[in-house]
Amino acid sequence: MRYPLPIVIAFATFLADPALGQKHPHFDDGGALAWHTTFAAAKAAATKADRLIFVEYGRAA
Amino acid sequence: MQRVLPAANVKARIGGEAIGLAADCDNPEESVTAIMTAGLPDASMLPFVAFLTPAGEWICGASGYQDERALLALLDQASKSPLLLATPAVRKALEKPAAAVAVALPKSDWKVILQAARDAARSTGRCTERTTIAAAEKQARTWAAGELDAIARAAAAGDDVAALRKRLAAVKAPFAGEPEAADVDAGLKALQKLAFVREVEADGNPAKDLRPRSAEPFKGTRWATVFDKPTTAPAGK
Repeated sequence: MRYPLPIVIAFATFLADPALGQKHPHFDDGGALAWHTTFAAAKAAATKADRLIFVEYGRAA
Repeated sequence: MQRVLPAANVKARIGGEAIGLAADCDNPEESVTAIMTAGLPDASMLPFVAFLTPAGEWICGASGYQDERALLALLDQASKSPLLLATPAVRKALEKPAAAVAVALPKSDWKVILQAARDAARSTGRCTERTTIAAAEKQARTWAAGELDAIARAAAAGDDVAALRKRLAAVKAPFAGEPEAADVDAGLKALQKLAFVREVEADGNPAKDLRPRSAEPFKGTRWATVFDKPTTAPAGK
């Protein structure tokens, strides 16, 4: 199966850094952390990168 | 947290030691709520913050505003937790892949090293075996990145596309199923387009924007550079 180039590039970029996440959904942390919004994704990324999980349990200000 | 996390002394450490989990307390996952409630049974002031092991086990946490010093103290405590160490069973399971890595590394046998890394990713816990495997995996990925960069530079310099395709295939083989293989696929598409560009240019009177237009789909990747105008005539198609 052949995939469009942008999908191939995006997939490669995503997989290249296991710690790759998103911005925090509620505030700008200045790029301090790669954020995930599901426990499963955070565990997978933390396991892959051998890092702690930092939980911020709150709501939008 | 929005004021504390960007502080230079916090940012310098936390990003290298942790992954963030943004949990919305108005729409939380039950498993996350259970962990936070068990860890902070008397907490009442948001936000609740916590450090967990990569497997999701509670280490430490706090509720309410945490200044830089308090947050770094929590990070210190978490980083030193014995919960981060591999169990004897995990170490035993990693002995074999770590031994395979020790043999494979001098031979640059990346396939074996990447398999060991996949094996190691099935468990958590810090130990020398995992460190050995991780260091070798890093070398493998550094080699692949260097090789892909070299191929892109050679293409930009006008090297023969067929030979470069072979070099890409040599990278892809040991990295099958890894992100580098997807990068190779992007490189193959770039080289295919580059061959077309060279053909059009060889025929004479190509569009002025042929190269920039061809590079556009590869913008932001190393492969965009293969469409840079070579300083010398291409050695082949």
